[in-house]
Amino acid sequence: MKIKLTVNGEEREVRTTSETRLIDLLRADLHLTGAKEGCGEGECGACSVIMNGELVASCLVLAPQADGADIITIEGVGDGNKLDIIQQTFIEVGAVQCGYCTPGMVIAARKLLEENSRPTEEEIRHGLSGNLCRCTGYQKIIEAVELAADRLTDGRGSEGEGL
Amino acid sequence: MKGLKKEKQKQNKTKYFSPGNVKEAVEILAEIGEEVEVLAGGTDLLVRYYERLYDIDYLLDLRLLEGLEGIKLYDDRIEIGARATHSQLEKSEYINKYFPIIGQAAANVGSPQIRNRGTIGGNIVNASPAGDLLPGMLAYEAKFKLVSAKEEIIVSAEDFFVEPGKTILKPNQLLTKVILPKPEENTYSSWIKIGMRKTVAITTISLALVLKLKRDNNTIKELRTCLGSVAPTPLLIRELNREIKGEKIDQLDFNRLGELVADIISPIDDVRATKEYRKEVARNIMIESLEKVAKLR
Amino acid sequence: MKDYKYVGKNIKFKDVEERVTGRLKYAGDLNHSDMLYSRVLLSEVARGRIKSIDSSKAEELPGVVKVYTYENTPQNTFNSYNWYRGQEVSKDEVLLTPYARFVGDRVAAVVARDKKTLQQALDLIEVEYEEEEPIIDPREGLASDDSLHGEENPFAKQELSCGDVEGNFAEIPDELIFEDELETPKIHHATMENHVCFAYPKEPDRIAIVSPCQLLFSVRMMVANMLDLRFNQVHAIKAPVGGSFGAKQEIFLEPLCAFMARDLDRPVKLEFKRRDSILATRTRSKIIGKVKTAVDKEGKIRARDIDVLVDAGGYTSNGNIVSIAMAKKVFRLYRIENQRYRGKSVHTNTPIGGACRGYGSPQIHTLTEINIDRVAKRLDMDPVDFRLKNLIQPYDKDPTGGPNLGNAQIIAALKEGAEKFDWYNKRNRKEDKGRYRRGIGVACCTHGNGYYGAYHDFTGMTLRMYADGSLLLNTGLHELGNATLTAIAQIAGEVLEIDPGEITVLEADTDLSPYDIGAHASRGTYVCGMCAFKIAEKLKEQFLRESAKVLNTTADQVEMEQGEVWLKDAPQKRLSYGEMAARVQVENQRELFTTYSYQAQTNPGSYGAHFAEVEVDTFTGLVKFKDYVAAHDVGKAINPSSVEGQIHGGVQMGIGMALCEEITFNDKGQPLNTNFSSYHLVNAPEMPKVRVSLIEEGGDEGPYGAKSIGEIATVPVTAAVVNAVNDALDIKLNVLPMTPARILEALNEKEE
Repeated sequence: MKIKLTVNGEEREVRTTSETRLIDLLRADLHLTGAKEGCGEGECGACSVIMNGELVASCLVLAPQADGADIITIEGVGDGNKLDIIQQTFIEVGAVQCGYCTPGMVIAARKLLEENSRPTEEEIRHGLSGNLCRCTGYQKIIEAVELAADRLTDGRGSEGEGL
Repeated sequence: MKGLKKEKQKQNKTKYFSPGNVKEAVEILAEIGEEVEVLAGGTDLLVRYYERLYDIDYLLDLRLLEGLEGIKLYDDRIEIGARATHSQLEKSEYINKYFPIIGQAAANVGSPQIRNRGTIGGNIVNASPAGDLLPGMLAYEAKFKLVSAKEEIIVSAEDFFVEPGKTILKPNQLLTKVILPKPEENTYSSWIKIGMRKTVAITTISLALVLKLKRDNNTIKELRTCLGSVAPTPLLIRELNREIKGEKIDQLDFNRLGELVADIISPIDDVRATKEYRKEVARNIMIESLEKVAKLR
Repeated sequence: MKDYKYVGKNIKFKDVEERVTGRLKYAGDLNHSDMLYSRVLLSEVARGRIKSIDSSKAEELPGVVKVYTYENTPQNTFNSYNWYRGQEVSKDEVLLTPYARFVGDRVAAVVARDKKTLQQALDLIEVEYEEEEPIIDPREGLASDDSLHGEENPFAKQELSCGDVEGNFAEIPDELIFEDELETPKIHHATMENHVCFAYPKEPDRIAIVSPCQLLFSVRMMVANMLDLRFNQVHAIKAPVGGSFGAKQEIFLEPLCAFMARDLDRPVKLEFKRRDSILATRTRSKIIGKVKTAVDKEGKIRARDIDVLVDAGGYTSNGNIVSIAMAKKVFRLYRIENQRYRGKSVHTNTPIGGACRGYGSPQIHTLTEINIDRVAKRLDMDPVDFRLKNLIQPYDKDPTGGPNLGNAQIIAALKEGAEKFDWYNKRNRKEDKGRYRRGIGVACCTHGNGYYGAYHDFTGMTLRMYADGSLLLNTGLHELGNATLTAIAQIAGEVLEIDPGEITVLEADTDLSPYDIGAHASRGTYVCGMCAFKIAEKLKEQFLRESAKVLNTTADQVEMEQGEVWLKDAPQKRLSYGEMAARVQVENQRELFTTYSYQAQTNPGSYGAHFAEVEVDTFTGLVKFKDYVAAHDVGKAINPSSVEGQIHGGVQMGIGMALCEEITFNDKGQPLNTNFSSYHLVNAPEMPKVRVSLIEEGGDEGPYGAKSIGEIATVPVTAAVVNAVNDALDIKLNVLPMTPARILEALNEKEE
């Protein structure tokens, strides 16, 4: 079957099957390898993308379910060589270690801040509850989200790309 | 719709259907319902078939099906389309006003990623003993609308669940709607879920409790207590209601009811907990639930 | 302490932009046009010889290229932890086995053109086993004369001691002898990246293997050994590592992948799924330990006797060595003149134990630190005070003859941590009686800095300054996410007076880089960092000498700072490094470069003290953190942000071991939790905020006084948490993890 979807602002038409998951379509067909498969069962969040404005695990979406959808992957965050604010704060506070969970974390954090521009620490922890990390203990990731929230609400977002 | 099976054998690939309305969907079910996997949010199906999607013969995707979406308020009830997601339930004004513990239970399901995709219909039809919406359904006396090519029927949540993964839903039927009768005045409810983690945890034990009081806001009219993950299906404890009907909530011995619940259930050991743990926690959360609803008055 | 320009600063992690944008290509992200895909079929039985294995149906499946079993793969044996040539190891593993020794043992591999075909092909392989009774509990392994490998079970025994243990125990009255037991779980490393590798044939008659690993040169050796090749026929290339923690320190997939690629003369990518990773990589070894401590009335430890049973799982791997590593730790934390460690290692029909962050250190410290706490309490002494009374002092000797402890600042760490945690006030809090009970716990620990004293430990590097002043440091290192390369650049940059961003640090590539033992034993900063320090000094000397030649003077007349070089008496006339380097090339006709091989001379202890405050819900047995403090003697933090980050992560892992992580089996050896929905990691809402204190007193040989942090960060966590829960409930839990069910059970037993 053929499906049409918008990925990172670009319309794509892909020949696929109903045995293909969105993560496979992104990684294998569109060569967008930022989303990772850490568990394949929606438990680790490494494959997180935004689909029609909602945070989803791309390993739990079947390709045909994404027909007509608007998808944002980590490759669509920021603009070219310019990092968005969340990516900047991840770097600044040292929220990245092995980096494998990072794309999913950035995507989840982005969604979180879109919905709630001033989250409490507790709300950040819950917003990231579906994203596992084995390196950081989440602490610097949470700090990075807090800092990004500060910047975005301070209006200092203009320095970077913003959300 | 004839000849679907032959086509399938020839191709040896999953045959995918994405009908636009219920009529088309149930016609497909009428013909090949036995072999169809119904796909709603996919959060259970894709886990069940992880790496083995090739094993699905027929897939019926509900994504385009009209009439399965939304949460509608009527005078005497709320109707929830089977495709409503946990996130929608969690955020619904109506749900939180009239059936707060359904909203709370939905908010307790999995992660944001799961709640955004997983549906109420999926949660019900999958009939996991740990399904988080189920105890609330029984406690609130929900009804389900089942549609087949022949007829539409309404069944009670209490009669729906048979064993883990099994319900009275027939292969030719589709669950389209959940109907929740609006609670009478002086109805109070509580939801407690215990997992191995606060979030993203399969339920070790849960308890949905709905307390209906008489006009004095004290005399018990009905107590509906339903536990999750202590039996093959959500367990509504009817005995309890008989025990205390007519008593006053401010004079009720919560401990006695807690002990009763613990005595009545016969849970099993699994990877999450022992049966002894479940019994003890059942008692504790029964007491806690009663304290919670008593305070809500 | 001296303020440095780059050392001690939170310099941005090299290649971090690649990581936050998802552009970094991990091995699983690589694609070659004619690449084939592979997966492994794991045994479904815990123990049994394969009677028959029929892969014909799988081979008929369109897309399948070949199925491998023991019948068509080399059957020479190996040990996955073997890291250097000449190492004595017990070899009992084969690439694909004819005899399954646990659920998860490798029995076949499928190669297909299409990734999606793999599972279907695996499902079509029919294996018939002659099932045998498995050994699941290591105690059974000890009791029976049954063995998995035709040798004795236990297959190894270890003993290390000092002083007169039995004599001292005989002198101490029974009421001053305190005994404890502990059972730790089998734990999954849970690297977010599953195991993966990628091999492709290279002309002429060579094979390349891309691997996210910790010891690339050992990968080369193992591939060569298993494929009967010369070392120079194997080109091992390090891929970015999506988490390792020891899991990718043992080599078992790469030789199989390389074999298939060579056999088929095609690139082959071999990937694990999560279930595969849980069952068929390595695990943190389970131990069952006993400890007995004798004290005098003043609270001084007189003698200690420790017995440990190590469950190595189905194959030996490091099952012997991990026990020796545990043994060494117990002599390096408290001043105990009379002490004995005795260990036994057994095989069971469960997943294989292996290297895992701390290499036995978390297990042994959990045993001993729970005991220390209980001894203090039974003596009615404060657990911190009791520890202060007995801890080692800086530059103490190792009583077993191991390397000197160096400037061991455990007392400072414990005091500072206690202060930050507000230990004494928290301890004076009134005991809770209600549903929620608070408790506090502390634990101390030590870990090493490299292999000195146990194995050879050296590394080599080559450093060049190009004609534009930029630098290239060629190393055999492995970035695992702990900013090793960044720290190395900070060290070299500090010496050379140049921004670390100007220094490109290359990771291991066996064709191109100098040899390195690997990223294990907490040696990255202490040993390899020192090599970077030394080689930078050498290049600096050379640069000054060559600059002097250009400037017609002597080296002592040349100054260099902040990327500029000048004559002492003409500071206004400055040349950039690049201008000078170019002139050195043109005028002196030489390249600025040097090679250095550094051998570790010492191996001091790193130290840490952790403090946990918990609140236990006695209705549910769930544990919530109220506070957490981690104080570490790191000598000097080269990159404090990275040090803190590693500590936070170490705490996450240790809490898992304390509260929720365990691969469980039924009595048939069938695993009960092989995915993340049933094997729970600590996620963000469960994690406490960790408050970190760093003790930076230097005084040891490492670069700028730095010592290790990566492994030790997780070592004391479990004990601190167990001590806190025991304190909250006044119970004595000795089976980990302390699941809610186990906590309530212990509480009920106490009440009865």
